[in-house]
Amino acid sequence: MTEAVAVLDPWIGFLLLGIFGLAWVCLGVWWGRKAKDLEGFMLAGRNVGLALGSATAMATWVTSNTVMLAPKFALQMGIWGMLAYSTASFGLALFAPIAYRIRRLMPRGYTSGDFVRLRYGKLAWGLFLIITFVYSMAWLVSMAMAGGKFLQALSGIDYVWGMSIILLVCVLYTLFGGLYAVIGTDFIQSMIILAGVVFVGFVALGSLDFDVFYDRLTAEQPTLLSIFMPVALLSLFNNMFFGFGEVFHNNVWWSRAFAMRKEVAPKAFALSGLFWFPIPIAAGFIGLSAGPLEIPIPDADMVGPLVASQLLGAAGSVVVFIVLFCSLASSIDSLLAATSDLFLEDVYRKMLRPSVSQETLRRMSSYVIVGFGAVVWAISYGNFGDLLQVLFLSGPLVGSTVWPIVGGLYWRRVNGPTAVAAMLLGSVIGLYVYFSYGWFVASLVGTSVSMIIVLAGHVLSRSEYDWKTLDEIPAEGG
Amino acid sequence: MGRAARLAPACLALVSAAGIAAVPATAAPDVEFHESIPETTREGHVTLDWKHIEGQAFEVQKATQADFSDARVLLRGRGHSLFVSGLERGSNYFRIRALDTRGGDQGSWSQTLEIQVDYPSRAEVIALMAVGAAVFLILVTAIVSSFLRDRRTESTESAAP
Repeated sequence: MTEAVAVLDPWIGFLLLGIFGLAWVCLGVWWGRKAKDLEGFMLAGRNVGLALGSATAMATWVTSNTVMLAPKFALQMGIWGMLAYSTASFGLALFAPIAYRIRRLMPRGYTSGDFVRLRYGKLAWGLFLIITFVYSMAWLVSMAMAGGKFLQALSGIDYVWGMSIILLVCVLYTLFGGLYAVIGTDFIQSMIILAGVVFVGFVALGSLDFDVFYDRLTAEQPTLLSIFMPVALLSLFNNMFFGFGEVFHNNVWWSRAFAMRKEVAPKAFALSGLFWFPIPIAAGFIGLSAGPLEIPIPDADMVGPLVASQLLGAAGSVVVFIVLFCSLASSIDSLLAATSDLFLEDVYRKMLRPSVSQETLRRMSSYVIVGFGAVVWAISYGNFGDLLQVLFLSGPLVGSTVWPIVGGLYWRRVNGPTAVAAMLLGSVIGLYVYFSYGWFVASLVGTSVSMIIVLAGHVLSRSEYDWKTLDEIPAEGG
Repeated sequence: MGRAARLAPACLALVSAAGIAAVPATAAPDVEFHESIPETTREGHVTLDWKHIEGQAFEVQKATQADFSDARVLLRGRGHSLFVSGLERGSNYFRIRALDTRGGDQGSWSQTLEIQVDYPSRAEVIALMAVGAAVFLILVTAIVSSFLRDRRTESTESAAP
């Protein structure tokens, strides 16, 4: 790699990690006291209001991937790449009406897996669980890897140390506080992220000469400004459908829909989508500046921290460090909590031990959170591949769930076999396209195939689903 | 031609010879790009990498002409990989050489690396974007119309005695 020198001393990095890590863990323990039972731990008492609801959705969606991959998208694909990343906000905004429907149909629901099981049966449920666990692990691993790389580039902290500390902190406070801690810390983290992004934006605007910036880009990398940049244009819809798939199917968002008050959920998701939209554009602009600023980039994954640290100097790098740590923590905790809930509720309780007591479930939830953290750590330890490949490989899988979720929520005639065929064929054909043509159309193809099957099932099927079945009364144990 | 003029080339030759003798022949080692770099890309970017030599500086150039008549310097510095994006459709040429410790240009150029950029065609892009736009519109229509119907149903239900 080109030998970039970290702007911050490692001891400053460790100090910041220590201060914020301790703060999140203490807050986790403090908020965790509110979780008196399993429902409190998993769904924060189903009473989350608008401010906390919007903040947690936005903070969860501002991941280390946003901070690392949005600049990478811009560096690789120019202006359209920046916009392509921003289309992920459409997923949040469009989940607003879906959240309303979820709360209406499943006032006592726990997980997205509950919906698929009750709506489509066990075969579709099993397939859905495979897809969602593969995706969740890919997301967690890509975030842990991004965190390790970012800390290394910015402060010289060894990749394994940085990645390990971040994971440890997130596992600890999720362990103690459950969704109360996740949502509470998300609120503080979202405020820090927003303030940090505004600060970085203003400093970057002040230190760049836009005429020189534009002239250099036009002269040396004109393709990045081209109105017809093929891969970037294709990734526009690809990224949008990937985002739809991520949000519509994943228990991170369903658990928030269940946790928010019914009338709050749609507004909170719409607001968070609106707030999130400009963030990848601001982060992407940093990546686009690498060429005009003549900063050699050894690894496209590192473009964000490298350019930010050159542009902002040591003081600005501290702000970037804090913003990154907040965005990492706010996403890893959410995903850890939601994925362990899904595993606990759908696999452990529904499949293995239906009569398990609340106390045992609460104890098991701790083991599951620690277990997931350990698996993610082990996979991320090797620092393999690039972040885009890790994440986008799951794109066609989650894209194939978009239509079974939407069709299942609104149309009575979409049945189990249709949902299975849509998820299976969408995933298989999407993956085939990923390897034979390119990642930049895989989610688009997976979603399109799935749509054709669901629409055909909706038109041809004679079955009529009874919506009341979705309002399942929780078992005694749960 | 005056005496001074006649002597000048000889003096220059002497100075040059002394200079060459003062610089060790191993100051700027030969360097080549790794063979694992893909020769074609559909995405217009590539990561160039080469042998890591501690503390050694390199110069990497890019051109769209095989004779490097339009060469552009991408890197003059230390490292062993470089990410390059925004490549033009067709052939893009790269070469690398090591610089000596004083930052001079004595290293010899590597073999030229040719990378073919094969973006998806305009027809492919338009067709796939049309599919994307259609799926997007159908999805938004399905969700929004169902949401509005849902709201109407709920209002009716709550208004009923």
